[in-house]
Amino acid sequence: MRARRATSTAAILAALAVGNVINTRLDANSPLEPVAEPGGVGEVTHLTYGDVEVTDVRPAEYVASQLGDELASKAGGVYVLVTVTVTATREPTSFLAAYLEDSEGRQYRTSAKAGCAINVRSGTGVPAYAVFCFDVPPDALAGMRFQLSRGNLTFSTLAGDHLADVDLGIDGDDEASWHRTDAVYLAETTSREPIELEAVTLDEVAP
Amino acid sequence: MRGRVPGRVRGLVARRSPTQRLGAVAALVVVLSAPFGGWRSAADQEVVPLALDQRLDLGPFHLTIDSVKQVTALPPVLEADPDARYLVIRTTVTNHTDRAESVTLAEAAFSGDHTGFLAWPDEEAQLRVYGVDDAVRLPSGEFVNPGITLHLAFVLRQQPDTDLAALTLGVRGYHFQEVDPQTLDPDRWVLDETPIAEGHLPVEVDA
Amino acid sequence: MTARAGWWRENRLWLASLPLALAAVTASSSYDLDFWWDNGLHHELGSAPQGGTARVTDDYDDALGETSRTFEVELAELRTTELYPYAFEEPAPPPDGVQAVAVHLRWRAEPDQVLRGCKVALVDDEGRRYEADSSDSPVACVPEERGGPEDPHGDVGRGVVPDGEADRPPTWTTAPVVLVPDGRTITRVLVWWERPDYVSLSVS
Repeated sequence: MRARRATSTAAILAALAVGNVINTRLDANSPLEPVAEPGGVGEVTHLTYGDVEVTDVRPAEYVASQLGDELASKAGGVYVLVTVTVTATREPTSFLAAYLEDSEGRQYRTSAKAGCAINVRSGTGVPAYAVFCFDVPPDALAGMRFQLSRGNLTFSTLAGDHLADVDLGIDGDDEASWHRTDAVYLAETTSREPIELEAVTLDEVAP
Repeated sequence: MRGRVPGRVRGLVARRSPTQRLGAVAALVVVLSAPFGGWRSAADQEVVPLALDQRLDLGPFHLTIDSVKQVTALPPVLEADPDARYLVIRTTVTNHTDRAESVTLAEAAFSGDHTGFLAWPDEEAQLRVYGVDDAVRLPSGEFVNPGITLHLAFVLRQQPDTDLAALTLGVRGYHFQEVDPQTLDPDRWVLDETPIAEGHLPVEVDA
Repeated sequence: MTARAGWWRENRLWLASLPLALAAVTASSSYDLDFWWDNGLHHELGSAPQGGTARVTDDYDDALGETSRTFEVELAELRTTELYPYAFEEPAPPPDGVQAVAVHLRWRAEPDQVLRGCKVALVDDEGRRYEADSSDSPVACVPEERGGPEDPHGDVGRGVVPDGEADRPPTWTTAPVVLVPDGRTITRVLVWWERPDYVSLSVS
């Protein structure tokens, strides 16, 4: 009888220990990882719900407002301007989650003050065009990837979503030259027509 | 022989006073709390005097106060107002984490005494945040990407007769909360109660 | 009786409660299923062939509680138009490779039924769905300027027609415009207010 009680006690303690390990070490509550679909600049990445194509990537020091009398935003690092075409294939779809990810796995958000797109919506079979602007440190440029997916407004996660994972083709030489960019472009958001970035020169504002 | 040990324990317990028993239970609870974080050391940081050019680690950001000035106007973004002065806290803010962090975290880290605070017209926030390098006001939804350093001016509107010699500022830090059972909002920064640094800073006055 | 049978007998209560525990675990994660069900178009309220009338009663909740809308709708025809009514702009031709398709619907309902704020979509033979944009075609199911009562909100109770608007006539037509890429075969028109409920009108 005593041996049995000892066995039960040991079993209960073991169950508690296993439960504790599951809860603390296995991270059972974290959401599902998104499923990445690799792609490159100028090629269409097919997702289960839509097609994504990065058509242009370029650096900028400043992004200027379309409203001529507003001040231009200067990047803390370098602005990376990613021009994208998206086409929903099954139903009208909002692409809410746009990020850059560097070779170390760090995630970068769009710059709100740059005034570019923060998301893009496409009707089924009707392409939509967008420019996303990111402020990233110059030494993280090489190997940078652009990630776009539907995201989820309710839970703000990418749980299990299919995600376009586009290698922007930035190599070490690009990194070195982009570092010193003094380019200025007008901010663009979304459009139903293809977007050509417009380079501009800035007027000095008396301080 | 085997029956003797529980008997002895029972006897030992029976001879203790209620206070001693309570103490023993408390000690046991402390021992058992170890796997749940009960033994983690409590924050025992000391509040240091606030100084210019002193790099403070808020958790999400390194923040250095570069200068504090009182001005009547801040062209081209703030015009002179006879009823108010502007206290401009110039800082250098670096996101040293591996994810984008909200600028709001830097803004909320500031506290102050005898600031002569005046509300901004039509807004709740006490501080407006501007980029020093481009004079662009940061939208409230702005994030600082990992590895990015921004020069930010935190601007407080204050009464013209504020006693600048009595004015003190404080900067609080954050602790990282991986799991919050109350909000189920994981991996977020929680503002500390006590400041990291606090005290009077010399205020340059631009007439 | 063997020792093993004794074990089953001794633990029969726990054994019986195992399926219940499993059911409780499943039920506690059912919000995912609810979320999926309520977010898609999963429940057909009524249907009709092209030229036929769908008579529909849609039970739903407004701000004040349970209510319903009753109406008749008929798909008259799908007709390609040259111009698409872009919001805040002059109507313009649709993009290359895309057609603008007007969905001509005939309606009948009592003037007190709330029919504002519907969505209209086309479905093709592969199940792809093309929706009328709610800013480009803001009134897909009611006559313009005579849309009838709004859903209750703020101080506005049920059955109130906005100031300055006449009552909705008992019958009317609408023609929301949907963008559809060339070469798609449309088989159905869907009309809905609250997902997962919808009305299906087949295209002949």
